[in-house]
Formats: sequence, C-alpha cells, structure tokens
Amino acid sequence: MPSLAETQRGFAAAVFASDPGSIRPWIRANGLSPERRLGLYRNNTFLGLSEALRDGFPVVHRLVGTEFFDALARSFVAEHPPRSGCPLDYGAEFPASIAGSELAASLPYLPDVARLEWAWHEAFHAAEAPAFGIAELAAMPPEGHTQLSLRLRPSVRLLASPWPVLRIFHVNQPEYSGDPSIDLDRETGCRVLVLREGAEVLLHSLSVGEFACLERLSGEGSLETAFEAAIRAEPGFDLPASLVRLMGLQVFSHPARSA
Amino acid sequence: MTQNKTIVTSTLAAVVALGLAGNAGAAEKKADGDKCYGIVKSGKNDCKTLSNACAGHSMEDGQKDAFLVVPKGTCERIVGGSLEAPQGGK
Amino acid sequence: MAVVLPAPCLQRAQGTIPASAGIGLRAEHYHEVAETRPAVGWFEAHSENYFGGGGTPLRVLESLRADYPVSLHGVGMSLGSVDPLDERHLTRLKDLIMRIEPGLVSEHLSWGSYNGCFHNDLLPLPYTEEALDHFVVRLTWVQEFLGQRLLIENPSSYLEFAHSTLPEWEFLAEATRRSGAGILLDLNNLYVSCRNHGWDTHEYLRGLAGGPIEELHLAGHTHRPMEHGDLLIDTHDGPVCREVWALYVEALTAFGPKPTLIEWDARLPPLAELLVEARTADRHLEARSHALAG
Repeated sequence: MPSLAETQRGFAAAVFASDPGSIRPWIRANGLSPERRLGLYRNNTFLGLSEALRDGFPVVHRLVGTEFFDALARSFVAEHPPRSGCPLDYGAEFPASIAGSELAASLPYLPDVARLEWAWHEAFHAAEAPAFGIAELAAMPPEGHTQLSLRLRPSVRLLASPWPVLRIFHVNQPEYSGDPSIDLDRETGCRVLVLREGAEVLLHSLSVGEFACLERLSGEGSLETAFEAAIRAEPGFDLPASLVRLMGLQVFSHPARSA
Repeated sequence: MTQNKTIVTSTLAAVVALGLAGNAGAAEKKADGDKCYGIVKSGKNDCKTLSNACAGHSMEDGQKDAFLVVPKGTCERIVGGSLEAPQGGK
Repeated sequence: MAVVLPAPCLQRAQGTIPASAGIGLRAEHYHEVAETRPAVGWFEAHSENYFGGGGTPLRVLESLRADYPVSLHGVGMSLGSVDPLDERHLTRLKDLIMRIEPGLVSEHLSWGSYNGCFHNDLLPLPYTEEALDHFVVRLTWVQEFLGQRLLIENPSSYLEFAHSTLPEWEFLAEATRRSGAGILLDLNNLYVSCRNHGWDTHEYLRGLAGGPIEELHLAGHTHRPMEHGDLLIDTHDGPVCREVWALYVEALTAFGPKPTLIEWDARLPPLAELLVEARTADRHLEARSHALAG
C-alpha cells in the first residue's frame, strides 16, 4: 500500500509528466479506466491554468488568438507549474517562456507585450502607499533635502522595450475603436511607467532621462546617483521639470512611512 | 561628493519653486517629449481576478500538435520590421 | 469604467454569518454589487483573490464588509499535502482575516501540491489512517497559526484510491472532531462524488449526523458522457439541479437551517439570476425554521 507521499508523488507524475505508471494500480477503475480518471485531473490543471494565463495576458491572447495562446500556455504550464497556491502569483515567468519559445519566434515583440501585461497585473494588486509629492517636499526644511531618500510606490513598474509595446497594448484594448495597424518600420521602442492611481492602472510614456532616474530609484539608488544617471542618459534633460511631472503622477512614496 | 549633494539640493529647490509656481502643467508638457501617447487606461480596470481552482472543467483539452498551430489574431495588423529589434528603445 | 467606491468605512455590519442564503463575490459583479447593494444575507469571497495587498479587489471587499457579513473561502492551502505548509500563504490569509474580520473561514478536504508544484485543483486524498493523522496535525497547526477556527469542505472527486480504508464522510467527521474544526458541507460535491463512485447520499448524510455542520454550499454541475455512463463534473457553471435541491431539503431536516452559499463560478449569469437562486434557498431555510418553531 503506498504511503500518502507516494500517492501524491505518483499523482503529480501522472498530471505533470503524463506518467500514470506508479499510481495506476492504486486507483479503482469502477467503470472507467484509471488513465481516463487521471486525464480529467490533468485536464483540469492544464485548462484551469491556461485560463488563468488568458485572464492575466488578454492582449497577448488577442494578438495570437486562442488556439495559439493555449499552445504557448500549455508548454509554459508543463515547464513552470505554479509554485504557490495563490493564482495571483502565476504567470511571472510567462514572458520569458514566450521569449524562449520557437513557436513565437516570428513575433519578437510578444515577450515585451507580455512583460507589460504582467507589470499591469502586479500594479493592479499592489499594496497602497501614500504618495510623496510637491506639497510634501515643500513642507520639508531645505536642509533636509540631502537626507531625502525617495522610493517608488508599490504599484510602480518600469518597462523599456525596443518595440512599440505601449501602442500595441493601447490599440488592442477592447474599447479602442481606431485603426489597430502598427508598422514596425515606422514606430520605435518605448519606455513605460505603469502605476495604479486609485482603482485604475495607468500607463505613461517616459523620456530616456525619466526612465534612467526612476530605474535607479527602483534599485534603491540614492537621489544623487538617480539624478546623475538621468542627466547622463539624456543630454539637455530638464531634471526639475521632469520631477514635477513625476511627482504629479504620484510615482514616489513617502520615505518616512515606506521604510 | 560635495558636488553631488549640490545636484540634489539645487534640483529639489527648483522642483519646489516650479511646483509651487503652478507650472506643473507647463512642465509636464515640456518633459513629455515628442512621442508620448500619454495615459493609457486599460479596459480590464473594472475587475478581473484570476480564474479560481474551485470548479472543474467539463471540456476535453483540445490539444493539437504545437507545430501545426499558427497565430491568428490582431498580430496580423502588425506589419514591417525585421527580426532584428529596431532602434529607439532603452 | 472603474468601480467607484466610498472610502473604507470603520463602521461594519455584524460579522456572524446568518443562517440565510449568501452568494459568491465574483469580479464580474463588482460594479453591480457595489452600486446596488443587493438584498442578500452575506457574501463569500475566494481568499486568494485578495492576497494582493491592495487595489480594486480589496477595496470592493472592504467596502462590502461595511454592509454585509463576509466569509472567506480558500482553495490553495493544500492542507492534505505532504509538502511543508506554505507560511507565506498562511501569512497572507492571516493578514486578510485581520483586515476583513470574516464570519467564517473555510478550506478543503484535499491536497494541491507535491514537491512545491501546485495543481491549481482540489485533489482527492486516500482516506487512510495515515492521511487522517497527517491532515489533523496540519489543520490543528494552521488553526493555531491563524488564531482562527476553520470549516473543512468535502470535495468533488473523479477517482477513488484502492487503498482507502475509510468512507469520505467518516474521514471528514473524524478530521474535524479531532482538530475542533467545523464542516462546510457542499451538497453538490456530495452529490457529484456519490454519483461518480456509487456512494449512497443518504448514508453520507447519516454519517455526518451530530457533526459540526456550519455552512452548506449549493452549485451546478455538468454531465460528461463516458463509455460506461455519465461522469459528473463539478463545473459551477449553471443552476442547482433538482436532485441537489432535494438533498438540500434532506440536509436542512437533518442539520437544521445553516448559512447556505450559491456557488457559481463559470459562465456567470447576471447578478439577478444568482439572487433568484439565493431566494429559493432562503424559502427552504424559512420553511425549515417554521417547521422547527411549530
């Protein structure tokens, strides 16, 4: 008689490795073969997770259609079964899996579209945090500015792509009514800021300097290194004006409260 | 070091001055650059939690040989471009 | 259009789940539920969908909690697994419990992961003494960790293990008795499993007599033709069938009026249709209360 551990090992092998060998003798046929019974569970896992991916990556789904998406999803599920019991966590590695898939080799922008959708998903569910804006900065004594360490709010995500993924995302929203055509010979890459404002996830285009600045801050860099990186990345960068804009977008969290 | 701190203090002083002068709108326009699509809101803002494991599936997995499957969606509207990434990103 | 909600309110509805009908809170209904505040006794939310820490789902749930009792129903704890318990999962649940102050918290008599890989499914346990001991130890530990008593729900299943030595109802009764947990009896799951394995529904209910039944679930299922007759799949994609309503009446007679959830997860109907099902359950509950009073 198999132990509980052996039962679960055999069951998992039947579902994820299509290998029912060790568990088959311990399943009652009762009118239906053990293989068919295990097949139902395999089906539930693969279909359920493919559906979860479709929910999380609606633009990728729309770009390639259901049949192709499901083929991508199936190979992803087989290679990357969920590592947690929370479905919200599932799909972080899907963009990299698409990038490595021969199936999608003719759609080189697809992995970055998927990265943008995952950033959207993370922003949608991220924790709340009060914003640090102009008013908060102005309330500080100027001597305190050198001690200030600005951090990004929990919902902020950054993405740089050599492909026009922000436009691809935009024209593939269900409510978009314009011409969805995109010419890759005419449109270039983009840098995207993803963040949640209230209940809504918003996507903004960033300049080269803004992106460099925020990227440093997201990597726990100091204000000095972030400002320097911004100026280095974009000649003639208007740092104060950009910071006013970013503060207006509520990118930064309150340093005292986010520690 | 001293020079770095100067960057911080002078920049933040300028930010406060600019922000309090109510020039945020003008500053935003200026910093926006030329190829900005502005804000994109997504249609799925309303809801969408992910599918739950509570219920089973009655359909059989319509698995096909992966090599037979071709993309059939709005990617057909994305034209041009070689397999090399174009310039202009990061 | 985004869901617009009032700021979270500190005043809250009473937390206890009443012996009336409740419905599941589903994302597709957020907007309508937030705006219309339907006349329903309580809501049940799938815990894991609110593990994100912020955003619309939590806002909706917190705002609803101001007006309704809420029950939290989990699917991903994998209580029956031999894998170590996932402390991150349990911590997220504990945080959610503190935030929402639910009237009931439930999980399943099942397992879901092996070697750290999750199936996203409620998998059947072999009903052996070894599995029972294991389940009781884990359930006891989790209740202590959460500072919260759990209800355990019977699953739908599509296979039986040859090495099972206990009937499912006995395993469930014994696991909850030893751990002090309660029972969430899903009558659709009971019906589906009994049909699939040739168990007797009456014997199942009799086997739980005197047990701590504290919530009932009702849902729809699907018949899938197989070589040797239909297999029933617990799809939660339609109305409650006649046989399950009959079983519901039998359960109310045996256990008294209990909080009853209408579960509908796939091919979700308009909210109004869900509320019709809930009213049917309420009529049965009222009839049973009157019978007891008279």
